[in-house]
Amino acid sequence: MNSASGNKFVVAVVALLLVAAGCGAKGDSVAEGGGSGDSGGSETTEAPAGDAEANFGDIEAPCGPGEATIDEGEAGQGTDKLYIGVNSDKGSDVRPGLLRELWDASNAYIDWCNEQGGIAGLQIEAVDLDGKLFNVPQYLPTACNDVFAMVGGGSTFDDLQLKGSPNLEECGQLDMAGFTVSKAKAEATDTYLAALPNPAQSRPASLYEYLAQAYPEESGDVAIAYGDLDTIRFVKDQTVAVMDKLGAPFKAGDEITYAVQGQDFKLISQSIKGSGATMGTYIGEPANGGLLLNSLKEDGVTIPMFLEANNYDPLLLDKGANPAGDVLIRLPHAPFEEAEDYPAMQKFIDLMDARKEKDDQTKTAALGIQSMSSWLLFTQAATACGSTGDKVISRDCIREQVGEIGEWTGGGLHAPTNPGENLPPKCVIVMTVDGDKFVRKFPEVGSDDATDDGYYCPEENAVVDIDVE
Amino acid sequence: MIGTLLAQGTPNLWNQFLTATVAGLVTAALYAIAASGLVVTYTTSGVFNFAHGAFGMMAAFTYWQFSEGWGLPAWLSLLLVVGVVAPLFGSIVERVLMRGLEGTSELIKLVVTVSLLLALIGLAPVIWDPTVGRSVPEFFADSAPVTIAGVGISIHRIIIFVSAMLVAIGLRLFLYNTRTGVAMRAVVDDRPLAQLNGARPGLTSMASWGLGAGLAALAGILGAPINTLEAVALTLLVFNSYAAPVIGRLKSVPLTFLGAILLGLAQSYASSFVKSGDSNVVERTMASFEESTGWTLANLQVAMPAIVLFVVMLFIRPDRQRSHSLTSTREQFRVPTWRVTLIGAILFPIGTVMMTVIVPDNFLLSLAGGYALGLIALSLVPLAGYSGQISLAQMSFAGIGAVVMGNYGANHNTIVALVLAVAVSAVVGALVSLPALRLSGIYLALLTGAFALMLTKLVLSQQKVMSQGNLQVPPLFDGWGSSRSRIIVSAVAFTLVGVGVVAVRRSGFGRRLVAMKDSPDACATLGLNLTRTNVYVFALSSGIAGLGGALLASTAQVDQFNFEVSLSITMLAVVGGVGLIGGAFFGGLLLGAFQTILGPIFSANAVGYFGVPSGSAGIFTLSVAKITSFAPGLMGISLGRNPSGAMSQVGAGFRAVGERTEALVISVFGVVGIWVLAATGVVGGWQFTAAVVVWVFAVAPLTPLLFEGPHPSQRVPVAALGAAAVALALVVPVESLTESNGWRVVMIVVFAGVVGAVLARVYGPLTDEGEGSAPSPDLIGVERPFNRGDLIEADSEIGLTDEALADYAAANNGRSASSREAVGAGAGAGSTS
Repeated sequence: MNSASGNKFVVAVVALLLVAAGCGAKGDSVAEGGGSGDSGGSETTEAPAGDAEANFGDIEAPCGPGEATIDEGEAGQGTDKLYIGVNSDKGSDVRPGLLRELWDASNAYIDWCNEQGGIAGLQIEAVDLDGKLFNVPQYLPTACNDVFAMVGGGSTFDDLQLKGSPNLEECGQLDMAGFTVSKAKAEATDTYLAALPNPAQSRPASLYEYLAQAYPEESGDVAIAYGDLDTIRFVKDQTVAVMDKLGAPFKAGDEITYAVQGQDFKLISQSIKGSGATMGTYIGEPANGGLLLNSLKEDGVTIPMFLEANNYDPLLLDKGANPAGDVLIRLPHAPFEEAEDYPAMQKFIDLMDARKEKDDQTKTAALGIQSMSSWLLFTQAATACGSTGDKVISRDCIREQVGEIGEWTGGGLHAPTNPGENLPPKCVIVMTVDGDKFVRKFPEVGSDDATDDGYYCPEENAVVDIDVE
Repeated sequence: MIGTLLAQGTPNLWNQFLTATVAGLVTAALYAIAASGLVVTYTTSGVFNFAHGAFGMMAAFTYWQFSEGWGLPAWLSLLLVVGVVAPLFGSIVERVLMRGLEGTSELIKLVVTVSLLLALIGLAPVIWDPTVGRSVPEFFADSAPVTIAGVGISIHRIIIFVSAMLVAIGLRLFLYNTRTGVAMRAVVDDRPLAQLNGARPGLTSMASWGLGAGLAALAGILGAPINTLEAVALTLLVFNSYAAPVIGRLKSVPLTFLGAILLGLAQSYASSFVKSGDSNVVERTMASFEESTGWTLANLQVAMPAIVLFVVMLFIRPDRQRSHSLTSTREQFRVPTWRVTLIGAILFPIGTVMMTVIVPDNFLLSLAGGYALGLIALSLVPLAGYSGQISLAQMSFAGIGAVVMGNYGANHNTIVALVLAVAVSAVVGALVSLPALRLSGIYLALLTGAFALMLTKLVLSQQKVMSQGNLQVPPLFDGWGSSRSRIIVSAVAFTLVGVGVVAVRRSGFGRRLVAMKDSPDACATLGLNLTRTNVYVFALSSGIAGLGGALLASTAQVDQFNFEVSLSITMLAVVGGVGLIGGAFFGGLLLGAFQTILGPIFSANAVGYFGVPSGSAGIFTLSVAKITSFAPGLMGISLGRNPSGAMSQVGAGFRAVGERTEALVISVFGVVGIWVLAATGVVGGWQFTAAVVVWVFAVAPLTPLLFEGPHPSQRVPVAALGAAAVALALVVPVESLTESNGWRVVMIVVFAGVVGAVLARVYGPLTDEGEGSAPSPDLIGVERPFNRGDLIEADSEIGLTDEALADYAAANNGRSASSREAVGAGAGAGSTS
């Protein structure tokens, strides 16, 4: 191609697009996010009453017909549907597809719920709020102005949702997030409600109770490997604070940073080995976790390693299969492996499979469970608003309804939490890696340690209050 | 000290040291393979291949495709990728991209490889869907690891180690004992001489790029199993090794291996010893240091490649620059006239304000970022555009500006804070430039790059500096925090600084900068103080960048100031045209707003696709949103053909408009008219877009023809047709013609193109086109013959006033005319090229 004209063309296109951005954008088609959540269309199929298809675990027919309307001042794009923002980082350059399980689980739920008749008769439409990791501020105007609420999403840098102008706090948006990362977000309870609360200063510690019993000796020197990202460092600080607070037998040992990209984990496993630690924990992404487990194995380090729930991911097994020592993963929800024993889990998997038919990139992962639980909670609260009194769904009404819910399990998806008081789950299932599979380590189902649902709920120290900056 | 250390637990520390050494050597082997490939390429072609890491990454993915995707045996896949695909790719890159770079400055060469790097990183996820988990198993994964000094070393690692040895021996034999190898070295030593002796530098260069790519591929494939198969991570793995070749001054393979070992060990020791704890003296010292100062050295291991690079650079003696008289680089930038500058200075802020009125809120934030980034790109104009220095740390200076503004401005006067931000950035920039003075070209680029990496890893990411990785930066004036106000503030700042930069360029200092770019040696000979000039221009540049950083965002994030972003902004400024104010703005806007605005417009719905929308059958489609991830890189790659950047081309089209006042007035009024229609809601967004594009790109450039030009009779038809075209664009409801934003844009662009072509055809040929006498061959770099204005300017440059000339003329009795021509032409050549 003639280079001069080529360059001119490029410039022309760019200039044009910038102008188009300014103006074309006021047309309607831009505002429609991914547009993939509009499956239900306007036709509303009758919900088959009392059908198992309509139930979600132990919640009977959460979605269905009704006569609800939406508060006009809060409806965003329109009152014809519930326009709901779903945030993720799936368009990130450095981590393509990041948190897309939240987007997928939300759409899986929306597809199904719309088929059942929607939320009290209102169809739902997902509006894609893709923060692409660092571009969170870019979606805030849409999140504030174009949607009724945000449900089931999550952003890695979610503290940015609360900074600058506009921000979620300033515009009074309601966010029922699938998960939260930052302290600022976790503490912004006036905008945010969670099905599985993750308050910064009040940490679930049931796993530690188990560790204290099962590994009393080893718990005395815990090496901590964590990534060089601020969000990860904060989780590290929380982990240290929890161990300090619990005291004996726990003692935090060496802290070892790794580069989240391009790290040679040989150096990290050597540092853990060199530190003489008798137990370890890894804070970060599952793919790197797998590399660390593999490297530890090469170096013959057999200390038990405990991991947060985000590492319950097949990516960990890619490289981390057949670990040398015990791997202990805190799970606040039912394991995929035992779906036949947990009807809600089976339902979740079925909905995700149905979604996969529509979008073959659909990702089914643990965070999706939390996302769907948020959707169920939102549905329950919105339905309560939309079927009583003036039948208007408003943000305040939803806050009120959620506040009245004392115990929440998402139909049996996860251990009981308290969304109203923003308290994390007190119960845990400890998973481990056996060969190239995740299996339940503790409690044994039916044993004295286990509840009827198969969770371990210690009487003391199930939740620890800490103080981290 | 050491005694105490050992006494603290001799066996433990000694063991720790031993294992760290072994682990470091294992890491070093991979660096060595990667780095040696870099050296081979650089020595032969003189191009430091920033895309080396991306080559390795692409090779690793290709290897995965062969071995896991298509099920070929591992050894065959390895052989195919390392022996065939990668060398072929490398050779093609050399032939197609790098060959065209001869005669361009080092800046352009660097930017083309950086663009290639960014384009490949953008391309890989388009080919290999990143949401699908992929992994490459280690070679002989089932075999038990060997334990040496307590370090478990898998067979795979041993293979890496042995490969490094073989590469070392092989390269030595190849470079000294084969014809091709000797030819490669000959080309490096003296290209013309080698050519005279019958060597073919072209082929040799291709061979070296092939070899370099093969080594990158080997490093990538061997590195992939011990890392994640993910584009950025793999690129960085190889990227980390860039410090190694510098120890060998980019030429010596053995020294590069030494560098790799040094790097591996430094990383390993940092990882095992520099951490807080209480098991030995070092750890306790660290702990109390962190306790008392609030600063942490936790990232030392992560930053180690940059630190090694930086330290090495401080001590290395770079090759003496071969002295040359006048570098005749192909990229050229016009010196802006005051007339054009002032027109721009008036229209730019006004146009910005007009735009903010009609742009929807969703895009204002991106635009605000784009405007501030334009300011940061502007900082490269005096530095890179005028004086030809390469900096890969502009975002770091911006980061310093943002931190000062955020911290000091939070509870002090914001104007004072802004001044302070500029001052601190300028001082830091001057300090960084001090070690840089001995360096130039690629060394300077690497030094500033290392500085950028260190600053983010060790300073900006500190909790004390940016808690949780971000920082609130107050707006310049109270209540000016909205994106709209911030765009306007940035636009005004850009205008003022832009005028200032033009003033610099037209001053004596500016001419010294350009002279320094042309030939530092000649300048030094003539008594120019290079050191002072360099420090000044660095301070000026980093001060502007600091200003841009202070205005960049209301919430500044660490990641905005990453080295990768510095790479991008340098690339895009050069793509835009780094010697031009408009080029800088274009570059900044491209970085700040290209993806974030195109993304939503072409969001992943079917209408944003070109090609067959795939249901589930997996028909290959390319969404426009995906193209945006590597399109800027592609623009950078094309620089070899047009090293002056995009804006210098666009500018040529509009220059005639700027020079003819009537045409300028008509053009501006046209835009304003269309804008009024949109702002009052008479026409919709798409019509506005169509009309503006047709007006600005097809009609306005022809407006000067209404007042001058060869075909007066055609003026009315052209004017009528142009007006009709714009009216048509205003009337046709583009959005109802098709659902697809992609096709709407295509329709508008095609329509504008057709209008432009038709109008030009109707008007008829411009008589002076293609004539104009060609410049004399001894004035290489002069793009047009001198006119009287040039002569007057040249005369005044050397202090010849009209009176002086008159005296001269009188004294020489009529011989003045011809003499004066000669004097003027001579001086003109000096200042223009």
